[in-house]
Amino acid sequence: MAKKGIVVSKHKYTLSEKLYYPEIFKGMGVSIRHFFANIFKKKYTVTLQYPEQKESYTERFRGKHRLMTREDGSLRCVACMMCATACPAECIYIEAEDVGDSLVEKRAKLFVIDELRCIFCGLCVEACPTDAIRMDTGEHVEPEYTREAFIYDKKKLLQKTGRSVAIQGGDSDYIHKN
Amino acid sequence: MVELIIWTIVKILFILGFTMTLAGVLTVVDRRESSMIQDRIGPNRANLSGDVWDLSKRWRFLGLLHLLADGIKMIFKEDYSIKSGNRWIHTFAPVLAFFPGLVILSIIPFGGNVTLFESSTNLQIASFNSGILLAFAFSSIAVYGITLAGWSSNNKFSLLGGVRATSQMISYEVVLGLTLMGIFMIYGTLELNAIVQGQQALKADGTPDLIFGFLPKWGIFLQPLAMLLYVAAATAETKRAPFDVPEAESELVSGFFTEYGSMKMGMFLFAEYAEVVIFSMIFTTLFLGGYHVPYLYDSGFIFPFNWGTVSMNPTLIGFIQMFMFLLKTLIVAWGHLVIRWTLPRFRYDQILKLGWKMILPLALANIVVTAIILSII
Ligand code: SF4
Ligand code: SF4
Repeated sequence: MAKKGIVVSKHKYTLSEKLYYPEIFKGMGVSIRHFFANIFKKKYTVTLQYPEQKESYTERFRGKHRLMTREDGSLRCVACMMCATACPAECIYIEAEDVGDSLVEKRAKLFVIDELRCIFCGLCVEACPTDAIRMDTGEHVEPEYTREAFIYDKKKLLQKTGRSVAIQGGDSDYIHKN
Repeated sequence: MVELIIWTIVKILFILGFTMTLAGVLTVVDRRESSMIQDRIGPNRANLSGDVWDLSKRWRFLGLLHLLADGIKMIFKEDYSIKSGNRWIHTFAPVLAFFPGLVILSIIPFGGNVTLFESSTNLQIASFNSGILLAFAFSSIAVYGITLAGWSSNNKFSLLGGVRATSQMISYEVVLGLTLMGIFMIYGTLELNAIVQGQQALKADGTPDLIFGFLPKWGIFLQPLAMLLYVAAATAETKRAPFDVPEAESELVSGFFTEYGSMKMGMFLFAEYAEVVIFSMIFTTLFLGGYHVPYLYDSGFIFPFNWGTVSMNPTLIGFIQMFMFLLKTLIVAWGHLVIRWTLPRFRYDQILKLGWKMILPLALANIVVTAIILSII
């Protein structure tokens, strides 16, 4: 049985292509056009001069963590360990201490996130019942010179802090009634 | 005698300084220009003002400071020398590749006659009657540097690069000489200053000698085919794209200088740009009327179509001509870089085919036709 093959037609060169020089001049024309368009106006250039010019991330971007505070400035975190439990990378470490307040009971003495281990999944934010941890800073973790510097403590997490007006522990009327 | 020595030293310093500066600047211009052609921005980070966060407040001088940064880096890098292979030749090869090219500068007329402090001179370091042949001779010595660099490195890629360079440069040398033969026949001399004079001469009766009454008798108008062939052959001699198989990054790491580091590699890179400058100078001299400004003669401007004349101070004319030569060199060098960033690399066999089967016959035909026309006129 005769094999069937695909017949590929060869590109027929025109005279100017065979002479080569006209094509070179055409190519140089393109180069020169781009050169002058870019040297004066940056017409085709799309480069972003990175550290100075930044493209802003979308609103839903999960960036550096931050801890939120109450209206009186105290930390919202009640050290319930929900985030640490939910975290698949196990990079949140919390030590709790007693506050002596029957409503809040606990607060975080130590709150440490290892940003190198973090996979930025956002599960900690989902898990938190008090809106104490958020990832809405819109910044990614900056490069550092040592690994230790990536372990963010409470102070660093509070740098970008903000007040959250979410009602702590649910509806306060409901708590006071009971 | 003292006058002659002083003039010669001044001329050597000037032309050498110009070539070196331009070659250095070209290393940066090449990168910036390629980025403009390819819609990028290119290196522009080196600055003198430190980490001022505002882009517009940094002193960056269009990225030219990268030249300085590169130089400092090259000099302070570890000068690694090879463990095997021939270390003496390995060290000597960059010198051999770099310096012969500079000798060519001595025969290039970079200006007309100037008079300073009541002594006048031709702005040409040496006037040999063998002229351009000296340029050919020394540019072929540069092949040794490259071949030896490839051979002494004890590295397959270097050796391949060296062998490729040898065959490419030897075959294009033949072509290079033949493409220019038409020019020599027309102007009747090999001496570069005489060729330049021939390109814009006055007739015996004092009227300008022009083609069709308005075109100066520059090589580019009299020998357009030779011009095209010469550009191809000379580009092959400078080993830049599209003829850069000897260093072909994608195939041979970086060809003959794979085993080089620090300033030795810097010298190879620098030699490449110096060759571009020298090519531009020779091209300007042979085809673009050298230091001549159109319609500017020894006594001043004489415009065609009887548009009148403007007489000028001869010394001023001398300096205008020198400036014109440098300007033409710059433009040709720029155009050469454009060619480099437009064309893809030839395959190795295509290069030899182009040289032997196309440029050589065309150059020979050009010689024959020129000879016939010259004998008729
Ligand atoms: S974002 Fe994910 S990985 Fe990172 S701390 Fe939160 S839960 Fe852990
Ligand atoms: S889940 Fe929220 S409240 Fe609980 S420990 Fe984590 S950050 Fe604190």
